[in-house]
Amino acid sequence: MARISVKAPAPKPEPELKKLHALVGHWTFKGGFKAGPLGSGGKVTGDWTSQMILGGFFLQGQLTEKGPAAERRALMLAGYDPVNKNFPTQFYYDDGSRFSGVLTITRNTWTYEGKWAAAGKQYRAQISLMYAPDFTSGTEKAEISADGETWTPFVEAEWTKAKPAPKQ
Amino acid sequence: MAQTTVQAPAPKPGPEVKKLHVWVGNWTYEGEYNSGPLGPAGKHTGKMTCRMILGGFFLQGQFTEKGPMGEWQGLPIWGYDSANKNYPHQNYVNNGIYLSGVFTVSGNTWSWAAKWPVGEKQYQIRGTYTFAANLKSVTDAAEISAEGQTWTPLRLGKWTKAKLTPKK
Repeated sequence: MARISVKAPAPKPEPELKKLHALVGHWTFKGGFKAGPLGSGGKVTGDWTSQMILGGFFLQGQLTEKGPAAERRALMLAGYDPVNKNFPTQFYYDDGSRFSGVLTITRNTWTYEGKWAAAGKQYRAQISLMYAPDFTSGTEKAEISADGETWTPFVEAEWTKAKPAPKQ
Repeated sequence: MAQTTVQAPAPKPGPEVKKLHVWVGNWTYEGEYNSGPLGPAGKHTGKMTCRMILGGFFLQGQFTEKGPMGEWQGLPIWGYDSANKNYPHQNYVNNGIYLSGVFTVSGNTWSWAAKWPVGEKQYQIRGTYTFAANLKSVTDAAEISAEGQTWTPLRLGKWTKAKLTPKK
């Protein structure tokens, strides 16, 4: 008997993933690190480029930042978890550190909560980004904690979305 | 007061991170899935290319696989967690599947465990990749469980590392 093979239709990204599209594009940021367990304080500038990948199921971002001690690069990936209704997110840094957590989006406020593993130690981190209604700028505030109870600010920055190059 | 900034030497990956190098290169693989909660039984074939990224701290793969559940493309990433002495692993697949787990290594055997979301249910999967002594081939065995107690064989496979193209 001939075997009938029925191809399942290709899955489509959850509508919630469209929220991540707001970050797609090129952004710059500037601000300051506070002195703390992750390093010395000082000014930071950087840029961020991101796009949806793998059929639109994940946001991939590339970050470059110049801080008080060094220049760092990072790769970020975020998807959607329909069970927990959040966006699992990872940041991988070129000094070996890693943020692993979840992103929740409430209107224009994006909050990352998770663990930051750096230099053999693990911290809790909370990073909130409050975007303007038109998603062309945002304010970032981040805090870190060694024990989950006492929180220390470690970065504040202003983000600006780069305007697309004019058509020629 | 002017701030004196001393450039810290760039951190370098330690020997445990370098164990990931056994995966670097081009691989082909084939094997068979058993029927189960993930889909029907059937043969699968695939290709994966792995390289170290972000200063050599992370291993990134890119794979394409054809099997009983369709054709997949994915982006797995491994790092090293010196606090927990294991290798956190995420796998981002173009059908929206996001696997997150850890690898541990003992000799030539890489054991792993992860969670595999199917709809609103989350299965546990675990397995081993066992390298041949010459590190040119790998045996893959995986099993799945709904509740973490009863395990069912999920997949068997064999990986082969492509030979380097001779320089002309």
